[in-house]
Parts: sequence; structure tokens; C-alpha cells
Amino acid sequence: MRIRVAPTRRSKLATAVIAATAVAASLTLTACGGESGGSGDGKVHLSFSWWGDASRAKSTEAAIKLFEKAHPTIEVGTQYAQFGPYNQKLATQIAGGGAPDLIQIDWGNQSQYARSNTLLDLSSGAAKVDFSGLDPAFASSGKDGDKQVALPFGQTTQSFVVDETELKSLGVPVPEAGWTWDDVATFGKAVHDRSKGEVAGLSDPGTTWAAFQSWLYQRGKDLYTKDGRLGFTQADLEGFWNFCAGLRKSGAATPANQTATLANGPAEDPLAKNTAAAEWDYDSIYASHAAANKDHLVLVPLPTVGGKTGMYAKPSMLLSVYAGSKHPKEAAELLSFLVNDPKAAGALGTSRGLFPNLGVRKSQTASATGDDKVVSDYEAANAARLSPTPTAPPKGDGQLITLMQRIYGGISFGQQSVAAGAKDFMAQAQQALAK
Amino acid sequence: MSSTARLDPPVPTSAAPKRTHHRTTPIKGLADRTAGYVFLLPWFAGLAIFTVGPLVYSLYLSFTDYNLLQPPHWVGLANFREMFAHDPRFYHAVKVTLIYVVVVTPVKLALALAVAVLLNRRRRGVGLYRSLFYLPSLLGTSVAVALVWRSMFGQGGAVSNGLGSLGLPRTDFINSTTWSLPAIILLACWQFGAPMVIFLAGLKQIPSELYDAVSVDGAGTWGRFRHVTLPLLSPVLFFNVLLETINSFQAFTPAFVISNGSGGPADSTLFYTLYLYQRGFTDFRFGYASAMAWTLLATVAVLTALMFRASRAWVFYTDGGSR
Repeated sequence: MRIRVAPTRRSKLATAVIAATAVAASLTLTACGGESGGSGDGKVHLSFSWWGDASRAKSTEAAIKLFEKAHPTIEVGTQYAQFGPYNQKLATQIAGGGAPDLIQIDWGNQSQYARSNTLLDLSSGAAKVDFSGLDPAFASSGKDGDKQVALPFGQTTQSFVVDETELKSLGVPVPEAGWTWDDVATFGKAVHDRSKGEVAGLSDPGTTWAAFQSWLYQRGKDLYTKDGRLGFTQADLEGFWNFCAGLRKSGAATPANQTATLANGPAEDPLAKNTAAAEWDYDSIYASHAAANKDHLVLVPLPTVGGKTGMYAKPSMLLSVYAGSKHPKEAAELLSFLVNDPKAAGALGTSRGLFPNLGVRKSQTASATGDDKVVSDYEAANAARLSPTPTAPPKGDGQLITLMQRIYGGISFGQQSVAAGAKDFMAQAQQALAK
Repeated sequence: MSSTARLDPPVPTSAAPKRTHHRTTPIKGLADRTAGYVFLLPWFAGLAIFTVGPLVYSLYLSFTDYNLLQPPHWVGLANFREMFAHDPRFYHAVKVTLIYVVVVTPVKLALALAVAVLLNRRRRGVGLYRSLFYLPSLLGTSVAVALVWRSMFGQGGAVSNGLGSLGLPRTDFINSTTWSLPAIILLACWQFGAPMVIFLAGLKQIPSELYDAVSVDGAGTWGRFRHVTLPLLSPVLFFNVLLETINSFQAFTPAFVISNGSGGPADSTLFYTLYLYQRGFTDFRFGYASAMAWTLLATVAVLTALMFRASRAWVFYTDGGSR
């Protein structure tokens, strides 16, 4: 027995070495196998990613199905996520050189991606798209310098989403177009008093970067200068925040802990929890608010300063073709379908705001029902009140959105005065824009 | 529990010498070792590619301005200088994390030890209780439990309503700068199951004759705990303190989920790791984030070394060896 032990062990060892090497080799090989996305069916495989919730996913998938039906040689794979994670994933994908062919991008990120040459020009070359059916001024929101790096995938406008049912039960009239910020204070106080402090008139807009933009726009100023620096002074910001703090202290606007829930989205915010009767938001979010509320909601234009609402046609999101795409022509075809084709409009509804192609939008508005009709009617009624669309925000805009939430949050929790907070904001904002 | 064994080497059993003698033949030993290393090869490859590689790369990135989209540029110590000299949020994140570590580690371990001592007795159904107490540490770090926590402690949640029905003020713990951090600390303390199981294993190894001996000497419950349990459990206690301290420094998921990634309200739950994540994945400053990561690693390494040094004074190893 003892004599036979050694050879057996040695052969066992040899087998073990071979087995381990084989396992290691096969692991490496499988890892490499993931690289090739080759298709044996002769079809072109496109990938398309966007952010949104389940209801938007449903309408988008429906639109994609219609596109595939019309283009039997193209197959589209889709992926979507919530806004925050989506942007993080997209940045990582672009860094790794593996972003989807067609990408939905946020206006605030457009400059950043365009400057690092990750988006193709849509006005000429391989990814040329016919966008003559769009309003030229609105289409130019997708421009970075001379390059058309993106096209708007929906038009949205600022608004107050107002809980009509709640106001009726309290006996407070729904605000009307042309109201002023003084009216906002009066309205908020009335809701607060009539509800015996249970409901605030509105969610405190002090943490909302875009609300501050409207505030500035009404006063002939803007968030950014043409060369991408801050377009307002510390005094401007203090003016806005002092007004908001006044609303909050009088009970007209929500207290700090409720305002903090605004960042969690329409399903968990004060409007959904019936602790506020109105909320600043884009009209493209109306459907999500309506889904989160039992009460009936209406859209009211922003308060005015000297008759100006400061509202403008904003691209709710944009579509771009990734520079690393192997099929730029097909990706551009899909893009064109999504912004121009009546079939796409039928499937998408107003899940991203108004449809980009003007001709199609007209017929869509005429036949709209339900939430789509509320949004379409609101846009139609306020088209004359819109200011011109500003140029795309500079790189770093996304950081200022969270900076606003953080610093005004600290002010409303009593950690800082408005003046000290505004000073901090200016310093940190300039730093973020400089990077 | 193999990790416990590492700090508390098992006493050699009587069967061991025979096998040791059998293995000392040089050629066989070499062959065995080669086979072992060959089998480890795939793991080494994985370690090199997925752990050591990125680790070294992140050290390089900490000296650059890498933003994910453009190639990194060397900026020397600029990230570290900004962090220590010009970033109030960095110090705020350090403060939040230190509060968390200093509260969670002792409270969690005290709970774990107390429950372990209770469950160390022979009772009907003690196995069931052990499982039940262990359960939270399996669930606790999951996203789902953090979400449940958020809705339980949030506005109109079960806890707030419970307080209300008791006549106490209804409180929104999650969206309060005062209560959001305590709510996360409570979630962490609730997961005392893992150290509890380790304590239980340690308690089982204490020979019962020692307890009999001190009882004869007139020691009561506290005396037996103070003079037998604590000294003999000290290696296990040290292991748990070390592990929990390091874990607490790395706390991320609950804060991320409960505050929706913001560290809010108003930065009240801005943990170090969460700020690091924000710097990287929302501000796209991966150079800065890498610098933060290496600063954390260095801090935890120094702290661990200090704790090992200090342990000489109070950790008692039964086999007479000291570390």
C-alpha cells in the first residue's frame, strides 16, 4: 500500500494541475466572450436608454414596438432607470466606451457630454436627422456651439400644480393667471388659516433651483451668463430666499421637514400627502402628480412680476446619438421616429411633455383626453405668456440643483441665516462651475 | 467563525502529532503546496484584476482631476489640500461618521453580549430565539429593510402614529435634522445578531469548572461575569470591537437609502462614505473621491494598529500566547 501512495498522489497532482488550468482558462475565455455582440440573424441591434417611471416605460416600449414593426431589420434593446441612478450609470458607460446607441440626456448634462465629444452632430454626417418639423428656436436648445448634439424629446413648461378638490373643501378660490407673488402669500395664508394649520398653501419653493430661475427671469435676469458663469448676485438669491422664508414662517408654505420630501418625487411629496395645496413643478410631471393624488389637480401659470411669468418652453429631456455607436444611421432613424412620427406621438402621449414635431403636436392636442388634455390645454392657453428659451445650462448645473436643496434646507431647519446661506451658496456654486 | 479561531488558536488535539509527522516529508510537502497554489491561481487572478488593480489605480487617481469623461491630469496633492483646508463638508462628514462609530460600536456590542449571555443557558426553544435575534443582521444591511425603516419612521409612519396614539407628539424622524441620524443608529444597533453569535461561540468555550470554582469562592452572578466570563471572552470581545469599528466607518447603504442619496435633511446623515460617493458619482470628481477613499483607508489602518497595540493590556489568551 505504502509504495503505491506516491505515484497515485503524483498522478492526482497532475490531474489537479490540468483541472485547475482548464478552469482558469475557461473563466478567462468566458470573460472575453462577453465582448462580441455579433448577431447571426442579419438584424441591426440598437440599444436605447432613458430615465423615467413605470408609466413612462410602458408608453416608450409601445413606441419602440411600432418602430420595429416599421423597420423589420432593426431590433431595439432598451434599458431605463430613475433619474439619479440613470445619470450615474450613463456617465460610467460613457467612460467605459460602452454607452447605448441612442441616449436620453438631461439638459443640465448636455454641455458636459458635448464638450467631451461623446455626442454626434445631428445636423450633418452619419447621424443626420430631419428636424425641420420642430420649432427652430426650440430645436436649438439641443445645440452646443454650432453643433446640434441633441434634439428635444418633449416640451415642458413651468407651472403650479394645484389641488382643486382641497381648495374647494376649504372654500379658497383656485389662483388665476396673472396672479402676483403677494397673491401667493395671501393664498397660502388663507389655506393655512382655513385648514387650521393642517395644510400649507404651497410646498416651500426655496429648495427648487428651477423656481429661482423663473423668479430671476421675471426680473429680466437669468441663472447663467452666456459664458456659463452665475448670472445673479448674492442679493438676488437673498431676495428669493427671504420671500420663501416669510411664506414658511407665516404657515403659507410647508415647514422644513415636509419641504425636504420634495426631493423624493411626486409620490411622497407634500402635495401627495395632502399637507400642501399647491406645488411648483413642470407640467410634464403632471401625470405623475395626478397618479399620486386622489384629489383633482389643475395647472396654474406662475405668478407674475410686471405681467411677466418667466415661463419658457423647456426641453423636458433630449435625445442624442452616442459617438461610439456602430450604427449611427439606424440610431438617427430611431431618433427621427421618436420626435417626428405620428405613431410615436400616439404611443408616447404627454409622458415627456408636448410632442416635438409641431404638425403632429397640433393633431395630438386636438384629440387629447385625460391627463394629456390637461397638459395640452395648459400649454395652449399659456403659449403667449412664454419668454424665450435660454441656452443650455453649463456643466455643473446638476450640482447646483442639489446645492440649493442642501443650503436652503439648512436655512429652513434653522442652522443658518439667509444671508450666511446665500454667501455659502455663491462660493460653492462658483467652485462647482469652475471645475 | 474561522476568523475567531485566528485570534484564538485552538489547543492541539491528541490526534494531531501523527498527521504532522506524516506530512513533513519534503517532496510530498512541496507537491501539496504546489497543488494548493495551482488551485488558488484563478482566485489570485481575480484578486489581481478586480481588487489590487483597481486599488492601485485609485491611488493614482487620487493625485489627478479625473472626471470620468476626460483623461486624468496629474494635480499632485491638490485634492488632499482642498479636502483638509477648503472643504467644510468633509469635516462635517467626518463628524457625522465619528458620532455614528462612537455610539453604534459600544451599544451594539453591549446588546450582543447581553443577549448572548441570556441565550447561553439551556432552555426550551433557545435555538429559535438565537435564530430570531440573528435574523436582523441578515436583513439589516439590505435595501428593503432601509426602505421599511424610512416609511416606519417617516411622516405618517408606524412609529409616528404609535407615538401619537400614546399621546406623545407625532414626529417625522426621517425628515428631521435632530432625529434622522438617531434613526439610522437605531437601525444599526438592531442588527446585533452577528457579534451575538460570535459571543455565543466564545461563551461555549469557557470551561464550566471555572464557574464552579468561583461559586465555591463565593462569587455571585456579577462576580462570575466579571472574573470569569469577561477575561476569558476578551479575545472574542476584541475581535468584535475591531470588526464593528471598521464596519461602522464603512456604513453606507442605510444612509444612502433613507436619505435618497442626499445625506439629508441638511446634511444631517452625510456619512463619510456617502459624501465620497456623491463626490464621485454625482459631482463626477473621481480624483477627489479616490483621495477621500485613501484617507479613510489610512485612518482605519492606523486605528486598527493602535487597537492591536492597546489590546495587549486587556486581552487574555488562555494558551499563554500574546499578540
